[in-house]
Amino acid sequence: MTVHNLYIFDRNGVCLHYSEWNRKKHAGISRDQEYQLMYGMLFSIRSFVNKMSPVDFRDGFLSFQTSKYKLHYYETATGIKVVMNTDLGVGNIRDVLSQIYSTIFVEFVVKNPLCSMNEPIQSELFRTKLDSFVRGLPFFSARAG
Amino acid sequence: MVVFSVYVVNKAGGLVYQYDNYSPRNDVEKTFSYPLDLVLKVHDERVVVSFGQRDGIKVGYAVLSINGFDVNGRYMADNRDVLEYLNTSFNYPLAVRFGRPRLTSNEKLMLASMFHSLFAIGSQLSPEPGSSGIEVLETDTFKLHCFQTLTGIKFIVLADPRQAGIDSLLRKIYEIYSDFALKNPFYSLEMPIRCDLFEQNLKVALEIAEKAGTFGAGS
Repeated sequence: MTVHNLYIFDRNGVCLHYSEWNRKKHAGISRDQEYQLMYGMLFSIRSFVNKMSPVDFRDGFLSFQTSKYKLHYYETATGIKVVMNTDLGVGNIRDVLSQIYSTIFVEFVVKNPLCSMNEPIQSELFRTKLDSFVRGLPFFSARAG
Repeated sequence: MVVFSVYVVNKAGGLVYQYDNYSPRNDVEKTFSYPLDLVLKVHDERVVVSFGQRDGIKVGYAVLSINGFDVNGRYMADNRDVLEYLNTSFNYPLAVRFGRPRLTSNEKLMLASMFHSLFAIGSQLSPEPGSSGIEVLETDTFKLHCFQTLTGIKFIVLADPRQAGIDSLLRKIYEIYSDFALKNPFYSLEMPIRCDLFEQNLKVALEIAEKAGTFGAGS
């Protein structure tokens, strides 16, 4: 079990925060392009899922998985999107993502008047809190191959 | 437990086959007086609810019929504009039926090619080397399972999140495709599949899957 990386996007698609732990492959494009590609994919998945669904939703898109990794998605009503990539063994971690939003993002970014919204987060406190929270997760393991 | 629909996408992202196995209807008909307490707008040539939910009418529902007469896109049967008609007070009271808009065949083509590129991006953005594209996409109301063959054909099944045994169903569909579409001398590769035997066998496979695999421990 391992956590690969984490993205936080705002409602306009700006990547507010990115951090990575055990990532072995990079997309081969610049960071900014990668954020745009990721946001574009999530945006398309949202509209795709909305049209494809045979019945009405409550939460909408939750996660997808490929042969190697699983992407977990959580979106708040204000449009903040928390995206975490883990390996396949991790189940539903919706509560973990909502915790990252409510106990770390809200506490150390929203309640920090020096942090301006809709631009990448500079706060060192937020960074360290997030890092120690993720490292403390039961499915986070430091053994990176 | 149910399988909602099956899509077959060729390696260029074109939809070559689509079958709706089960689509739940949740239409709501209600009698309204003037003014209408829902905000409607025109979206993709349909009149949809953009704000206000009541009595089972949800945001995103389209106007399907007025006073029992089916609506044709954003126009009524006699070519009057639906929004204008609904904004005219002396037409009231009237009965309007709402429901989730049905996918048109054009939209299905579009969604299939959209998934084709999502599949590719999913593999490109992988944090691990050697990843495939999206295999399972989960929402709270359905799960999309995708199986890509070595030749690049994608078989996509939309099913209930609790439906098990989809992996074997996907392989079964591949087998049916190889037997009844590829071996059909009238079938040209990469073109839409119009083979009766393929469809018949697919339906049988879906029935078996629905009966056998229910409530498994995730699939």
